[in-house]
Amino acid sequence: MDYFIANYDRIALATARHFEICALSVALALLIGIPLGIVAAKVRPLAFAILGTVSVIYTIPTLAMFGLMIPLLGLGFVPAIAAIVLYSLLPLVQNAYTGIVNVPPHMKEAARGLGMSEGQILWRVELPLSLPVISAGVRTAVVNAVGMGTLASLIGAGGLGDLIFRGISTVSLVVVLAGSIPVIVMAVLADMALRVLELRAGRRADSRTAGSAP
Amino acid sequence: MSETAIKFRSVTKRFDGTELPAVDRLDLDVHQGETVALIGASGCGKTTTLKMINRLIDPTDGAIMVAGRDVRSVPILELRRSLGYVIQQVGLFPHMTVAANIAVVPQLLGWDRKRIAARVDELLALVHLPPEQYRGRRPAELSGGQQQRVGVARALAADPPILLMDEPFGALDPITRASLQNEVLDIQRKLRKAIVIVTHDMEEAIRLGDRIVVMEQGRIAQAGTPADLLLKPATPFIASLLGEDRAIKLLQTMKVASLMQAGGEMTDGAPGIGRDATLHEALGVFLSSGAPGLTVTDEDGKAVAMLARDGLFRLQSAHR
Amino acid sequence: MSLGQYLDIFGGMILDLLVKHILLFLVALAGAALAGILAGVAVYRLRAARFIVPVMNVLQATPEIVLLALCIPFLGIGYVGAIVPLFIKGILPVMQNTLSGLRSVEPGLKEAARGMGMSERQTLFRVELINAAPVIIAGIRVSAIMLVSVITLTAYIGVESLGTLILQGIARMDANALLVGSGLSAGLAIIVNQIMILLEKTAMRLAGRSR
Repeated sequence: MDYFIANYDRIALATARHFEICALSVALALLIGIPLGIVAAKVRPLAFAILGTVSVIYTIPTLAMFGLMIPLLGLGFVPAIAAIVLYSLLPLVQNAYTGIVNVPPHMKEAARGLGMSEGQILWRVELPLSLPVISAGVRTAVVNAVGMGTLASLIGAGGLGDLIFRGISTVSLVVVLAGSIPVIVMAVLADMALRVLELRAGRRADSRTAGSAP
Repeated sequence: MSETAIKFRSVTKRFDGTELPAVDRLDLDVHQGETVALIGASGCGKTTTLKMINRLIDPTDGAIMVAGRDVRSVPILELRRSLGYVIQQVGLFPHMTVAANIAVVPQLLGWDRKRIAARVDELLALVHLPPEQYRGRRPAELSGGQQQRVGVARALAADPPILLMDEPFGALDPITRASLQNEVLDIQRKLRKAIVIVTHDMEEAIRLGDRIVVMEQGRIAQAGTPADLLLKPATPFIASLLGEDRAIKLLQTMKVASLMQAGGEMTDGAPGIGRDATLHEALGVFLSSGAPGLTVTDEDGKAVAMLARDGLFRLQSAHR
Repeated sequence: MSLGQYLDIFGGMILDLLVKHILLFLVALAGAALAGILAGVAVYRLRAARFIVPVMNVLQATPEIVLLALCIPFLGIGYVGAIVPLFIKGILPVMQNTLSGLRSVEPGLKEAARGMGMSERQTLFRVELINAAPVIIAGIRVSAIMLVSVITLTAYIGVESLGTLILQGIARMDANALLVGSGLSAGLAIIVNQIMILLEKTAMRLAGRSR
């Protein structure tokens, strides 16, 4: 435990860095993924291509993803972010798609009959109704990102992985813990916080099924 | 003569992949203040016809005029916001309160908040849902009948002159259905909209319609007042739609005042009947009392005329 | 050197690592699937087993590498050190889906079965599990993909797998190693995914369901 106190600055730095990487990646993934999901839902011919591509990306092992980024983007922050963003797309795209596609058609008919434009229908009816499903996707994406963030250190991006890997190579449990505990705490806190948001989004998330992506 | 709210001129709709048109050269006028019921078997084109008014479906041929303007010449959103639309599944937005649902079109039109709030309360009162109780509720907390009342309120929010209803009460139990039909009659009495209602329930059409339009394979098989149809159904199919008891149904559409005779023999002790009661109610009194004649009274209870039982039974032959 | 030369020279080693990866994968998957189904059934049927769920939720949110790292002091490096974390990570999707699948079986089916005189166990095996099968297999699929991925990480604790190539690539900035290691493991994951999807569809047909 002395280690924690002695090195709290290093731990804090690594944690901050880790958070930075994950937050940025998730933010980017949201900006890209949700519009993609909406497009897939609205432009049906594209749905297969979009969902298919995103699914394939998701099945690629995380380490392999980082590995593939290196020849393309080198080492450091950028390839790490790129890999995590790519990996976070599926839960967001898939859930945005599913949410919108599952809005009852008669609700869309009523909205159209009232005189809402397609854009207004999307913004005021379809997206609000999809919020629970999308929240579930965001939760998955965030927890994934926190996990993947530990590997980011392998390609020089920093983060708590630095501590974990150093702990492994020096066979020092304390160092491993110093890196692991913040990660676990971050992941669990994020998971709990987002579950609460999901509940608030009006419907109970089905937390009992692991993803059955296409 | 009230102005024509909706005009169909030789309107045809052909869907891809089917030979026969869903709607075939339809001509139809709907006047302001009247309720027109579109009725027919599944696939006769009644719903397609309705949906061409607010352009959820566009005609292949012909023109539809709303308030004198071709529906295609008006920007589509403006058109829809000027028409009230009620569907069977109601389609209330579950994530919005009752008030927010009703406020949708006024908000789209840019009304200010105070005006909208006042209007919401006004409409809730109109459909007999006390505003203080129902304003903040969510659709999921309401029964089917209450939901559809809100649906009607929502359709009327921007005070459109025309109300379109697509089998609005089909999903409700008979008791609730009757109650909501009364609401519509009540609203029509107060507001005098032009209402087009699609239904497959002949009783509903007779109750609500000032005119009934029976459709078959995209064309009008018969159009007229309920009495017209009940007295002279144009085809055996329409006769069967009206039911074996159409002679009795006819009595429901006629008032005592139309058959009474002023100054006839006033039998002492004859049971009374109001002049505004239907002949159907009069029949009930004849059957339960056995009297050959009834005293007809006005709103104050004063005897003004007589209703003869024979006259009631000779009704059909008198019209042939 | 070019990719072609790389493959020529190291082809044997690459194949060896691939085979080791697949073998480890199969062992881990079989174990995790079995344990996952048992755990799922246990939570479904026994009130006492309910405590497993929140524990599993925390474990699921824990990144794989962390789990691997934390097990080293207790289990050492190498296969043994790897197999336990792999197990833990692999069980959860299967358990969750088993539970969810069993819970979503139409009550009418269970009632009919009991009404016909089936015992608890018979109902479980012949009705409930069969109907839950598609969802369970979906869970196994998620688990499988995760395992292919986690196994690459076990290279860090001395297990020989395709991950070894990737790590070499990173350490030496060797594009060939990176491409081959990443490419093969990605390819393996995709193939496994497709096979599992086929199994899922077959199970759905057998259970008499349409999607």
